[in-house]
Amino acid sequence: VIGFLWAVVAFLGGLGMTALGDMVSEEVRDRLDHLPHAILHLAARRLNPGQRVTVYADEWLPELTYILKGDEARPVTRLVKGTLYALGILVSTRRITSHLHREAPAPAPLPQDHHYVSAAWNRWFIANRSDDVFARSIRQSLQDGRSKGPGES
Amino acid sequence: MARVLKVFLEDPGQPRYGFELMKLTGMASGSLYPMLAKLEGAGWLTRGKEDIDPRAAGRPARTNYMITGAAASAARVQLAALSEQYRPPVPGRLRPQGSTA
Repeated sequence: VIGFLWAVVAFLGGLGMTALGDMVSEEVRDRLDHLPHAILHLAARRLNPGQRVTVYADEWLPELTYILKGDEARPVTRLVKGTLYALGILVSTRRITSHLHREAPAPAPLPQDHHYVSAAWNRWFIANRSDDVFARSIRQSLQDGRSKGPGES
Repeated sequence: MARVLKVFLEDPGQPRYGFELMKLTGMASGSLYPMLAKLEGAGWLTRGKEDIDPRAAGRPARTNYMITGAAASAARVQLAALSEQYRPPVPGRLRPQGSTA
């Protein structure tokens, strides 16, 4: 009787482990399927709002969907191809947007004050003084720059 | 860039898609898309939309690119010049000095 009970327990345990394994595998597959989209979404965050429509929604996303749903889309192939496609775009987003002249709003210009902050840093570094001196130095550089105007140095 | 232009010049009236260009040129998306953006910015390529019904296809329409007429002519000239630059030297010029034949 005890042997029979052990056999039942082992059978049920095996069944449970198989079901658990299937669930884990399904979960992993589902998460991996979202990986290319997640990477592409990261790349889209580097775009300005206008470009997110013209570049991300109109171009990258439909192309990725095509890759993931294509005829040759076997599970591993589509994961590899989709991920490589998205990764390539992620690493070159800056280069892509630097050439784009689509109907996207222009990005905000860089503040001109960074020149004066840089000059202040140089002063502090040479003097090797405390942070207070550095802060005063930044303020002084900004005042100098504003009184001279951005074109003068 | 020559590889991308060559694909467009094979059939200038044929719209090309990003992933298709990746397969035809062997380039990665990280190299191809900056190039497409550059060519589009220079007015060499125009963008269009894939002619499909998204509901029937079960996916959104993709963006495609076509080379403009003027760009096709200019690209042919440029590619010919590039090809000329890399053409191997004429065999006669490789004869050793002093040879009379």
